[in-house]
Amino acid sequence: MTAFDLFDITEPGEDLSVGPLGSPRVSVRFPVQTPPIDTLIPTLQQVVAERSIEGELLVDAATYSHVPDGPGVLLVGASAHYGITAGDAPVLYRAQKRPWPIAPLDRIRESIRRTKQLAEILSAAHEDFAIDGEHVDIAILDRLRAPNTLRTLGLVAPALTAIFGGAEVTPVGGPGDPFAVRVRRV
Amino acid sequence: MTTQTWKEELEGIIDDALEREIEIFETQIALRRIGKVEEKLFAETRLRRGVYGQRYDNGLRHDGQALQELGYEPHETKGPNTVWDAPGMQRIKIPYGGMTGAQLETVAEIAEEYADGILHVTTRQDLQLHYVHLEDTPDIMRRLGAMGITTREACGNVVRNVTGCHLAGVCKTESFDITPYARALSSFLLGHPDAQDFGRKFKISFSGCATEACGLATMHDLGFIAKIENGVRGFEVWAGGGLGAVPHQAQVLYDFVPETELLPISQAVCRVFARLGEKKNRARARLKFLVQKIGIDELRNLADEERKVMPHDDRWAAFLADVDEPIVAEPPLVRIGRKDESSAWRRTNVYEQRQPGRFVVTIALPLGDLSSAQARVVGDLARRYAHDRLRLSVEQNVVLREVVEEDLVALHRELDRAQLAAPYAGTIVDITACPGTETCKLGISSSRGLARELSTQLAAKKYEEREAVRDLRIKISGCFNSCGQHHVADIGFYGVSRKKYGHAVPHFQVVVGGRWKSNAGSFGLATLPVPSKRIPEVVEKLTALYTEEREDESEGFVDWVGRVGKARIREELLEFADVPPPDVAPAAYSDWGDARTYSLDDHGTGECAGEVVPIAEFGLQNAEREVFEAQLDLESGRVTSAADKAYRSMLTAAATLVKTEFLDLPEDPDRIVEEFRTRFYDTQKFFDPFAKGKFANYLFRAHAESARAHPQGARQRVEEAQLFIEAAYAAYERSARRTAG
Repeated sequence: MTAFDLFDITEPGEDLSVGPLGSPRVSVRFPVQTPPIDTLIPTLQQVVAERSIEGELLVDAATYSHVPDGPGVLLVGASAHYGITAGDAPVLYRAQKRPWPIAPLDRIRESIRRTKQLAEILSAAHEDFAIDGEHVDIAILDRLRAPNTLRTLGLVAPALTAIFGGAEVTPVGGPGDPFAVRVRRV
Repeated sequence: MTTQTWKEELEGIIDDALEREIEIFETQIALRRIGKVEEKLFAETRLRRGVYGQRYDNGLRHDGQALQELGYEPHETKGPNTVWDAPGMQRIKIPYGGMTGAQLETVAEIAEEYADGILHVTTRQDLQLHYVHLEDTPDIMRRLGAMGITTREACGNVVRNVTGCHLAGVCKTESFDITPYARALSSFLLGHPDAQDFGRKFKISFSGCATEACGLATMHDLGFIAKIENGVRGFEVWAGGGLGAVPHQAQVLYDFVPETELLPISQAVCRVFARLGEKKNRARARLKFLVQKIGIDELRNLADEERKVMPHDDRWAAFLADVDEPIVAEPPLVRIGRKDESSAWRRTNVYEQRQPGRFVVTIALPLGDLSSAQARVVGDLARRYAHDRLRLSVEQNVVLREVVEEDLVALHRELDRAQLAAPYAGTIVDITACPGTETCKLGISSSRGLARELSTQLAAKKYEEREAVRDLRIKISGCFNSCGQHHVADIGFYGVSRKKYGHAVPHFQVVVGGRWKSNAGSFGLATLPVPSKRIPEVVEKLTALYTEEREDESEGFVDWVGRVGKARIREELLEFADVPPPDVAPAAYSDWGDARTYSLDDHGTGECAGEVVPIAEFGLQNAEREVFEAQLDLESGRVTSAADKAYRSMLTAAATLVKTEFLDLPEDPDRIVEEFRTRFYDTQKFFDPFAKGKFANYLFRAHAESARAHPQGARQRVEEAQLFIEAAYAAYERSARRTAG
């Protein structure tokens, strides 16, 4: 089973727009196996040139491979960034930066779909790139609407459990980090 | 209930005046969105809030094959050729690079939420965040403002961040701690009316001594070097320095200015620059060109004359009461540790302070970049080991000061865990680079790509351990504008492009012989352009030649360059200048870290200086913004506020016109109206060809009456204010036409 098995999303039966998940600044992260991340740059350049991710206005590819514990190599968008990090536990992520006038549930669904699309492009171009895990991390990069607190966890965890069909939801990251949870199928 | 806006969240925490400034900026954004502010004026407005353009924000990008439209909505702009929705850069001023741990943590959060998760330290001790959207900037400013940080005047034709030695207060060679002076001048000139009407930016720096590099005083518009004469603290003042395409070494403006004169003399120089500096030709508008034109003696005479007529300001001396405050009030920390004398890190990254038993620890940041996660670690370490203080350096690093000896091992261990203990601070491996083509609209070659490559190669070959060359400085700019400070490096590079076999090829000009020490004591000279991909070989050859040929250990690199001569160095480097055809060496036709075939077709227009917008246009824009706010109040039923704002908008417009003739106009409304009447009504300069003096009477009547709180009266006043402002614009344009000829 891979993280993509989590993609069957169901309606939660509650209004998500009033709580932390109402923030558009949602980030999804998948664990990956990756070659040295700078080798991904030509593919990311190609993704920009060919506008390969449907619905995304892409601007540039950038590298921060020199920064340990940094954002890695980036696919910069006008509304969202994608990145692949280096280190012991590399991830492929998408981080929404701008308002996104669709329902919160659709934001999660669409974030995952677009990230999956990039993962497929990278896998096709690099045989040693692969999604490798059984979970997805969902972060909310919005300390106003989603402070990294137990209260936020109490609001977010049941909703995500419902959305992901009874998945296990646990907090990840340190106290200074943005609020994030790990969603794992039970 | 969850708070929905940062404005609500930070109410009562953020300073009222600062919140008001940010609200004004928000209104300006809204006005631009509906086309009520002209794009050139809006561009300079946002620049003065540190909101800067970024590469590809014209909506065009070369994909290696052809120029491509990125797909933005092209009609909405935030400046000339700058698309509204394109991400940009937010520059954050950090005076003399001084911050607290909590401030750094706040910037880390902002970088994570609105940018790309990277805090970039600049060569002028600013922080920069990239890929930020314009509409997020007011909240960014609020969150920074709540922590006592401003972005105001971080860009644009104003006084930029005031820089200062990162060792100030702890340095063994300083005359005294320049920190309170840098802080006072920075605060004094921020938004000062005498520093708003420049033709170009104005950079100020402080140095604690004449011999070291840290302050770089001689490459600034105004540079101050601490000096004590007859027991009195003061400064040697240098003026007219600057890098850029045409570097100028500053000249001594005053041998000694006592501390009491620091602020007034600086203000006087600003007034002279605002009055006489070039306004039309941006390329010759820095103070260095004025000095070149009139001479340093005449600048001194003019500043002295200005000083005599300037109205007294209590702030000139008020800050001196705090000057003798100790930097660290708390008692020393005491922890158990052990010395680790063998550590390479300790040799390169640790500096013993003049205070016994205390140390400065430098955290070398690759390319000046720090991730949000790392920034949180640094903030925490500053709190636990360095009395909650840290400084950014002009070499794009972070320093922790006041670390006790017993803590060094533990601190190193914690830095190492966060991968922040790279043992090469201040060495040849610790390369300075501007953003270059990665994000800068003006970048020609990839300065960061080259720096990344050079740093990797030099570290792999242990250059930081080679005694002869380890202390050399390499500095790289992506173009001739010198943001990477290549002129003052031992080995400097700046990006250029050359056509080879019909194709553009990224190159770097090789600049040798700059002197970093002695406050950037001399500038290097270009020798020849070399293809980017061959620059590592250039460094290898230059360092090898120097190592072999230096007469003895005392002959520095710059002295060797002087002795052997530029012609010889050029001759030695000629072997790297050739570029094979594309089919033989395709890699030469792309830049470092970029797979695309190199092209400058998407090269943008820089915003480095912003547009030269006369100060009067800002004043009139402010009046328009105020009357717009009056309209909003009217719509919301706040009639008293609407009437008052309408009156104030007329006052603002009137004061703006008066200040074109009388800069020192006080803020007093009676005086504004009196001066306006004398200078613009009695002389009929304000008169409309048809309505004559009718619109001026709106102001006179509003000034004479108390605010009319009933809806009809307020509406009338708002309408009158709108007409008054239109008339003010017309009068200003008539005056500008007369001046032009």
